[in-house]
Amino acid sequence: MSLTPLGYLLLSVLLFLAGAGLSIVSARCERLAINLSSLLGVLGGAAGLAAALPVLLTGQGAAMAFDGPFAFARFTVRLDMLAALMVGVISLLALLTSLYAQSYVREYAGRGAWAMGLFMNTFIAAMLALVVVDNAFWFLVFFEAMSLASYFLVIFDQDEESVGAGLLYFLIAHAGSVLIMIAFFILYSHSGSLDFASFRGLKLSPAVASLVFVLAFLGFGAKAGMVPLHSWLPRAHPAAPSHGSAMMSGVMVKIGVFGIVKVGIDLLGAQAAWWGLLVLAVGAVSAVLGVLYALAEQDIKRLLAYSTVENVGIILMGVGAGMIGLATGHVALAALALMAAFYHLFNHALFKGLMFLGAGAILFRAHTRDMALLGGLARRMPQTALAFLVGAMAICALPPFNGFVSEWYSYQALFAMGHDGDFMMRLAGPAAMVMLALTGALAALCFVKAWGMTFSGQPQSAHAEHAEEAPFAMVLAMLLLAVLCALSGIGAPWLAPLFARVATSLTGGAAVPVAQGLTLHSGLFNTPASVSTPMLALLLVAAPIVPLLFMAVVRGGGVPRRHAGDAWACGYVTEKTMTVSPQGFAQPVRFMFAALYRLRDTLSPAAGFRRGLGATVAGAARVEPLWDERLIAPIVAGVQRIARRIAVLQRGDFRVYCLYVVVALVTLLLIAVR
Amino acid sequence: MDGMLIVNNLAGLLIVTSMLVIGTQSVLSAARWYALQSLVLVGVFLALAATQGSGELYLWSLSAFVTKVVLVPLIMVRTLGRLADREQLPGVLGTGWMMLLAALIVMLSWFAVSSVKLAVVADLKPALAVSLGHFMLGLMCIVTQRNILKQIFGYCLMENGAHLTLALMASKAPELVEVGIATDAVFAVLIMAILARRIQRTLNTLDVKQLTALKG
Repeated sequence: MSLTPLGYLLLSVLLFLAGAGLSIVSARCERLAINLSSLLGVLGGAAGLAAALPVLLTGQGAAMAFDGPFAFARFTVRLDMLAALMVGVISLLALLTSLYAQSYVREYAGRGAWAMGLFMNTFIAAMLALVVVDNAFWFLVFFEAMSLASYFLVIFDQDEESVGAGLLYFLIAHAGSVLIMIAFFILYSHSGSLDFASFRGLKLSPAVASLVFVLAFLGFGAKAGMVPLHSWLPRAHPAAPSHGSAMMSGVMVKIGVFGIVKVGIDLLGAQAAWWGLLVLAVGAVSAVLGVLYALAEQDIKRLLAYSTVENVGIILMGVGAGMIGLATGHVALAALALMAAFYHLFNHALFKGLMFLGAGAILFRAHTRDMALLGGLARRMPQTALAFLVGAMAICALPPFNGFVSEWYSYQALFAMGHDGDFMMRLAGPAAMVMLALTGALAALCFVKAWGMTFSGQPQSAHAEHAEEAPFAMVLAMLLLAVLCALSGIGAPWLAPLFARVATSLTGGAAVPVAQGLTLHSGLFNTPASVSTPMLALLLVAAPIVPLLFMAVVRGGGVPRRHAGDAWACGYVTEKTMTVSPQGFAQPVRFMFAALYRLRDTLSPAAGFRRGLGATVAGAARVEPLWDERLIAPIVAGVQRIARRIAVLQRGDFRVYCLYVVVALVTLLLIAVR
Repeated sequence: MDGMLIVNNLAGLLIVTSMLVIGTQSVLSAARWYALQSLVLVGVFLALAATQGSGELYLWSLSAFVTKVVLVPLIMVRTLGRLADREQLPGVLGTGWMMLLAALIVMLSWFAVSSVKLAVVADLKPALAVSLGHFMLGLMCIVTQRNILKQIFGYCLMENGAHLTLALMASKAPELVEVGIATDAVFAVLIMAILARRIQRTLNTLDVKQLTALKG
């Protein structure tokens, strides 16, 4: 059977919807519901990959249009390179999380596990449909479907924490949707059609275009979790089930980035340089603040959520640099920067997905997210620990993993910007670079802490002490993701041109040579930097051989015998509490960046929302009786007064009614005669 | 023209008879006066038929004679005759006032008819005015009388007025219309008579002032 890419995509969406539907149908038998929904999720993910890969490899998109049920909005589908990239990322992660869910969701048996299959699969189907529709109306429909399905995932536990987190998420997501709606409506009022195709050819005045862009940027930015609209992430991700967080953090926030790219570059053509500068600045601030806040966290899923803010920041820096490049005519720079952004988008989906799945495995076995109560899990859950370590190394941009490659390209793009551009770009490039460097350093600190506190040292609680390795399906999903992290790092010379093609499809112009043979290049710039990830990997594998050789040479010199026993504790007996605590580990950073931590509370819109909600409720409570007193009560009284007057006519004696007939007749007669 | 003169004068006689119907107290005499009035009406039809040479009107007069001169008074007397005379239920207005009101109504009707410009009724305007006034007199009867029986007669007067109007303005109308009108009169009177009996049996009176239970 061979289908066109769009056919595979339709198949994929249908499979996910079937997973959702069968999950409801088999609600009585939860085991069956879990297995069916995850099996169909895996199949759907595979079909989605089959849809995305041909487009990415050949560069030939596909489009289709149908007359939908609404006269004002045609159902237009467009599977271009960017959409194919998103479909690929969504499908890949959906495939692996569905596999993982097969074991993980059993934790929720008896608490409506079938509903999780429903919401999860609907959520994925909505995202798949969202990235390929080419009509503003349908885009918003699927955007809402995605937001709602993920909202139900967030409130799944239905305790106070998750419902509160869900409300915050709901408010921020819908505030974002409203801004996006306004942006699309402005475009619609100028083009007269809701098709994105009509928006693309639009000639807007700079002021209107800027307004549309800023609205869309804020709207999609709320979804992407950029600072200062990030406050829902650290609350919603811990509340959601772990495979749900993996999808939300790994993929859904990327829909926000996708939206910014879609509106800023695809629809509006990145007209003004300051748009890119805005994106770059917000990205840089998000990256630094995100990682700083992550560092201060003790809850592992909150830490990962803040780390998502950081990584979205890094992606946005690439997008911003790309927009600046487009606006100022540096097409090659734009292509390189966007390529770095897309590469990081893909990578982050892999390693953040992996780490959320790892956090889920820990939660599954140790029943806590608090790192102060974990520790020593590397001995109890070695495969999970290995996979999580790979993820942590990748997110810290250590070679040979994939994070290194995409951040390397980001640096190259920023270097190029600082080198080639006008004054503004020469200033912004290095500044962003410094921020990126700071982010990288802090990220390393953050994930040393995350891995170290969780997996090494002494177990800090009975649960941690008696934890077991996660079930096979979960371990398999995590190990597959870890392998992918390694492969997409080592295989960068083959993958990078793919992302470069996606970037070039947006910027136009010649393809940027980002790789040659086994070496990565930074393109045609004055700073011809190059690095070879396969060689790096080879060297890193070879490096441990050196001490072995050394040992062979000095053999016989006598390596001192190792002592087994407690660690040295200045003469005291070692206790568990002597282990470094998560808070203690981050203490120096907290001290140094105290001002930035204070900023978190000032910047968070959550307090403002809460105040606003309180004021609205209070205001409504005041206004509501006013309505009654000033409007409704007088109307009621007036009607009753009039009714009493009219009731006089109602004598009950039918002769009187006849008299009315006479009067009416006489009156009519007189009128007719006159 | 002589025929028209006869028609107009007979029409004037209708007013007199209807005043008698309204004015008398007992069912029997009211029914007699009504029968007389219907006879006058039949006479009007005959005169019209002779004057205008309309074959349909002869038939009309025949059916009107059967229904109005014979059937309706018979029904009234047979169903209500004994019930109605048990109580004295005078009208709201005295006879003098009633006469004055009737005069006013006829004048108003004349006034109304004077503006009608139809070739068919050019010579019959008095009769037309009477037919309209007759209708209004029927209404007046309903409004001013307290006895349900009189109200049924009031309805009959209205019906006669309408009938005359039809005959004057559409003398060539097919018999089917006449049949409809006749059955309408008979069956309406029958139903109203039965209703009146029911009311009498339930409330033990025919005074409409007692029928105000539905007042809001």
